[in-house]
Amino acid sequence: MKNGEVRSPGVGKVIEILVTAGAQVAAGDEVIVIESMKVEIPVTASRAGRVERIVVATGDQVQADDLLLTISV
Amino acid sequence: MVERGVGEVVTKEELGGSQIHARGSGAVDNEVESEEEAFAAIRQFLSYLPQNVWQLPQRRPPDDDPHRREETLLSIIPRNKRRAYEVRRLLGLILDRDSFFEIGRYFGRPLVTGLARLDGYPVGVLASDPLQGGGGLDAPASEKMTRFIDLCDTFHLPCVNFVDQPGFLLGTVAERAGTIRYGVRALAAVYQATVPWVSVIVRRVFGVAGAAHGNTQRLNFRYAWPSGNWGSLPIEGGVRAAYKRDIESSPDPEARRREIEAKLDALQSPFRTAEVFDIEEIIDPRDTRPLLCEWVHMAYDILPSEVGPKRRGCRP
Repeated sequence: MKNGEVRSPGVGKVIEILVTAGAQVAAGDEVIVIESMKVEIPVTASRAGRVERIVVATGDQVQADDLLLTISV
Repeated sequence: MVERGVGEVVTKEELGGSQIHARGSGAVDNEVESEEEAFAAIRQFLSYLPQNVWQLPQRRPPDDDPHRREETLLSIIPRNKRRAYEVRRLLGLILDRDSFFEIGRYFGRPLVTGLARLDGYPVGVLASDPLQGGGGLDAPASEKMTRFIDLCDTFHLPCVNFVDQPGFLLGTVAERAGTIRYGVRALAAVYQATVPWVSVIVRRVFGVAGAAHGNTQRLNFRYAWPSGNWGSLPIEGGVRAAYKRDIESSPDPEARRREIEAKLDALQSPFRTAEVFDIEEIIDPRDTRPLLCEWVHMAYDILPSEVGPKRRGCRP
């Protein structure tokens, strides 16, 4: 994952956003939870840094590889 | 050539690199960093296979206890049935230690496939990965399943399937990808295979994709963990369909739906339905390895009658 982009691992619905813009995260931190086929799938930070922009909102429908949020160093 | 043909200007790497073929198209199964690693991977891959279809896969002196019972297996499936878990960790606790050789990790990711050993005997392993689309089979995962089963069937590798299958992936993208066509091919591959089979139902078995978790025509065992949950439709979606009128005519449809779901949820138990679902046995998850090691001996007892080329021919 380049440029600190966190993308959806698959099709589903955003059910929880665990960070706010500006928050400091470590690589591997859970940042968003997607629900797909009735399973909650944690999405983790691709690298350490500051959450720059959250592109989705809770309840949004996402497809595989859709941008969820960006992290800047 | 590409530029003349379709007007696309690309580099060699962009066209035929592992980025596109191991992580996109599925034309390449595994990628490694160096030539040495490539040879090591090929050597390991071949170690599970017989020299040709007239021979059987070779047992290695086992280096792991067939009676090993891992306590972690009791809690590896989360009590919250919506929570995902690390399926590769589960495999590591059950198969011969360090024997799992994964094939096609970055393609068709809802399904994990690979070769491994049980008490030294080579087997093919399939497992759903709930962290990838909940483990629901999509078109690439179905294609991966078809190819993998054909590989196992061709070379007489008994198959172990760890099942947590919510069904084929839903939604317009999945429909446009022709998921059901690829899915039916995978089902056909399962039913055409004549290798011994064992399914361990670790959690869900739903839908048409769930129906393809085993082949009842040959030596086929089914063990289920107490976390097992099966049927044609899960309660969450099924209630909406079956109680549609009841829910719609209620003053508070949402509350009525939740009420019906809670009532059915409380009744739900694998022990009530194991018999009608033809589950031979609900087992203590810790017994999985000992039971699979027992099964693999039976499987290899009947394999000598299976050697030779398969009648179905090659499915490219």
